[in-house]
Amino acid sequence: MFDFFKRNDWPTKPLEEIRKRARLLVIDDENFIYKDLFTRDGYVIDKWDDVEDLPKLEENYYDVILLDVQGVGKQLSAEQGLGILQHIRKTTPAQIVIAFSNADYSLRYQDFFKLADATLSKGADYVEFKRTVDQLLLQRFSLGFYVAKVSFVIGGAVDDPERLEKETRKAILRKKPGNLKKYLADKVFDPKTLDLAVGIIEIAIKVASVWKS
Amino acid sequence: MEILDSPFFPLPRIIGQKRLPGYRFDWASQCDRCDKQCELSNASGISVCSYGVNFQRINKNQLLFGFLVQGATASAAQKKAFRLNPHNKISSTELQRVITVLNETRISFIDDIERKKKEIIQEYKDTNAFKKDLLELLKPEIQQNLAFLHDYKQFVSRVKQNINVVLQTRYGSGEIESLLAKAYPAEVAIYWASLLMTEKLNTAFLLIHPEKLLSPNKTVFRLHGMVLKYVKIYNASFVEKGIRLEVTGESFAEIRADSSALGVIPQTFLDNALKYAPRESKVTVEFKEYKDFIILAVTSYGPKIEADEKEKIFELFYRGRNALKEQEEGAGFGLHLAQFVAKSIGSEIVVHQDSLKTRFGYETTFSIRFPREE
Repeated sequence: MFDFFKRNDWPTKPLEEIRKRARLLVIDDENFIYKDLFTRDGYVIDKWDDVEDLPKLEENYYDVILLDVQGVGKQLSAEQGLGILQHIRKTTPAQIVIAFSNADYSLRYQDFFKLADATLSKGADYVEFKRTVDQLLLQRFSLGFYVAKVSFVIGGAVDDPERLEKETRKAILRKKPGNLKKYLADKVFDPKTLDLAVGIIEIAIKVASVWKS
Repeated sequence: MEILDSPFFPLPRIIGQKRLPGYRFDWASQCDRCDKQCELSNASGISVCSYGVNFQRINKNQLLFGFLVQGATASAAQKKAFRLNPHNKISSTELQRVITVLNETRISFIDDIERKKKEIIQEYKDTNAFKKDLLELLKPEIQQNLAFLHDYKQFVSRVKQNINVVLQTRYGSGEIESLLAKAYPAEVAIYWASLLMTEKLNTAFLLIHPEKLLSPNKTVFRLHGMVLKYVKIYNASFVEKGIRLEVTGESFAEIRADSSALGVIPQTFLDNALKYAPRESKVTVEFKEYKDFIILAVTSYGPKIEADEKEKIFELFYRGRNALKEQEEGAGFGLHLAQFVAKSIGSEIVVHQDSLKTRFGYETTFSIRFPREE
């Protein structure tokens, strides 16, 4: 069943299974009241009052992060939650982040919401939180998500976006991130952008490998 | 330019403290060494200074001067002035004609200015810039006065989260409607009250952050679904007040707008209905779909809107006189914001009220036409 490495197929799993294997993180200086409900419903969820372990955020350790805009990351950035999110986007663009906050009107926070994969108001119903997390978990465990992320990072640097998608897909399924690097070598000259694209592929391979265990 | 400023004005004159020569003649030579008698004088009509030179005040800042009016009698000073300035002569009839033309032109000029001023004001009022400037002007004060809203929003969020936990824990996991169906009436009431409070706070937040209205995040969505969300939220409060809330007509069309900003419209309609409709009356939410637009109308009974208030009720912080008598509480910003949002999508909220008073009050309909997304 876990034949990702043998058949070069992307593994598919039911949502129930994904939920059990996924790791959620909430970063909020306030109590996260829905934590017990998430645990009851089979999710593995951690809660940080502030950024407690930055490398974990940079390594894509968590499948989905729920990040508050205010009161967190003060030590790391004057922009608080926005600063953290910007850092995550720069270091690991495939990291899924839900922006959740009470401050959803001020333009001051619009960049924060735009950078996130989804937004939630703190007053939203639990089912809305759960639905949003589930949708993003399904994305996290889909090949298309990583292909789209690579396309986003590379942007207009390639003339043939379909070919880029094909090469990305191949690199993930064959577990060879270097192949994409080779393909992009004469198209993308910024080494940081190349590293980000390769980083996304490595994460995709890691996520698919989860099903081996 | 005013006529007195014109280089083609025939007589010398003083505007403020500036002396201007006339095109017919310059001021009399004595005026160059005088002690400004004419400027200091408040006399009306044709006057003469100690040098024998004539002047006439037009208003506080303007006077004609340096001319010599020919008359039957003349003082020694006047005779000397005539001798020294032979070209500065003017007959009293001619002077009168200049003053008449001056006054007529001034009146027409003032009329022009007034008309132009009105046009500019109207144009300004017709654009969103008017609202933008007003909101910007009021923003610091509003922000200061409504700073507590941030705290309220946190409290309400907490209430809503906690009632969610109660419902989820007591009645098993599932969609909120199925849990509410099993819950105690008090739990249901807390849930809907927290939702209603959230929506009311969201509307109030637009006052603090009008930029949300000015930089809308437009998406395409179904108006019907959006309005029904508010109907659902308000229904519990209507039931509690013994008011029947009915929805008639259907709409499947989509519109393009900022859904959170647009929500102010149905929310305000329903909020006003809830505030003023008496017990046992009926509130109707009606949809009518046409080829190019959808009409949303909310009809309820309420206090009389006086004829001079039909437009004023959309002004910021204005509350109808009779509404104020019935309900002292109320901020008076809902309709203003709703109209603002309506205009931002090229529409307008209109109010219609029956002139006949029923036992419930006056039947009042607030309606708006939403352009359909093609």
